[in-house]
Amino acid sequence: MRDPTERPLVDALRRGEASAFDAVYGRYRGRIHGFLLRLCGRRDVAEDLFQETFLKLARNAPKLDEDTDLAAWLFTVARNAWVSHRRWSMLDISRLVVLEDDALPAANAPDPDARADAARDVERLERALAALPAASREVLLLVGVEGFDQEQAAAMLGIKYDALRQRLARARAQLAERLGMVETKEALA
Amino acid sequence: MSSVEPKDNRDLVALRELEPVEAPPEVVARVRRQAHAELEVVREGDWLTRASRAWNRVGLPAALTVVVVGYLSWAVGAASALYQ
Repeated sequence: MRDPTERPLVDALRRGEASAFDAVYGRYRGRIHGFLLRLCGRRDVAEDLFQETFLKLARNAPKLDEDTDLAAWLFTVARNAWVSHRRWSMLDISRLVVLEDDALPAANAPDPDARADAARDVERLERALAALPAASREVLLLVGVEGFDQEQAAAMLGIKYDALRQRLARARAQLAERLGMVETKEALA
Repeated sequence: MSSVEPKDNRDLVALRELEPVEAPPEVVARVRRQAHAELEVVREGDWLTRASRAWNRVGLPAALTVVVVGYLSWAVGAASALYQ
């Protein structure tokens, strides 16, 4: 999944070039912020962790390896920042917080009816995802939303490949169950 | 493990459709500004590190050599002047 066009960017980052940082920032900031927002469910926390992630990139730019996979590096740092935040807060945020309605984008289909349907589907999915336990949510975000392969995701989470596969299967089952629950609730309403 | 098992990859495909979410513009601008300041510190730090390494490896030995050679020249000159 490593993008070969990133090598010059990594070289420039290692030299501390601000333009290289801007290019990386432009490429990844939406994905990292979306990942953190979906992971922690709180806009203020997501923004703090987003800032922490990119400042860490700037501080560590000269120490990056030549063959650094920037996507994997950034998502690992973002995820670790969230784990650290959770440890400090001593709370399971997933039990407390519901995603803000305006925090996530609506679907962008051409036809208004299709757009409304797509927006409903996205909202349903976002809510189901937000209701999952943190361990399930992070694996679905990395593999499902961000498209990392399972070996990469296992390395990012610091677990073995088999453990990741089990966690992913469990997370998918939980998501399917949640989606079923959401749909049933809507049908009854 | 839950009793509900997804039958295919539709759930993962649907997840792939979720879009990135941009941070508010003021946050984007603030983080960029702070990161540029960090990079400047890093560049300055890097310059100081290189200069310090160059001084330790080349400058200091060269300066010591010049001092020692200078002193020896002076000492030899002074001794030979005294002898004559």
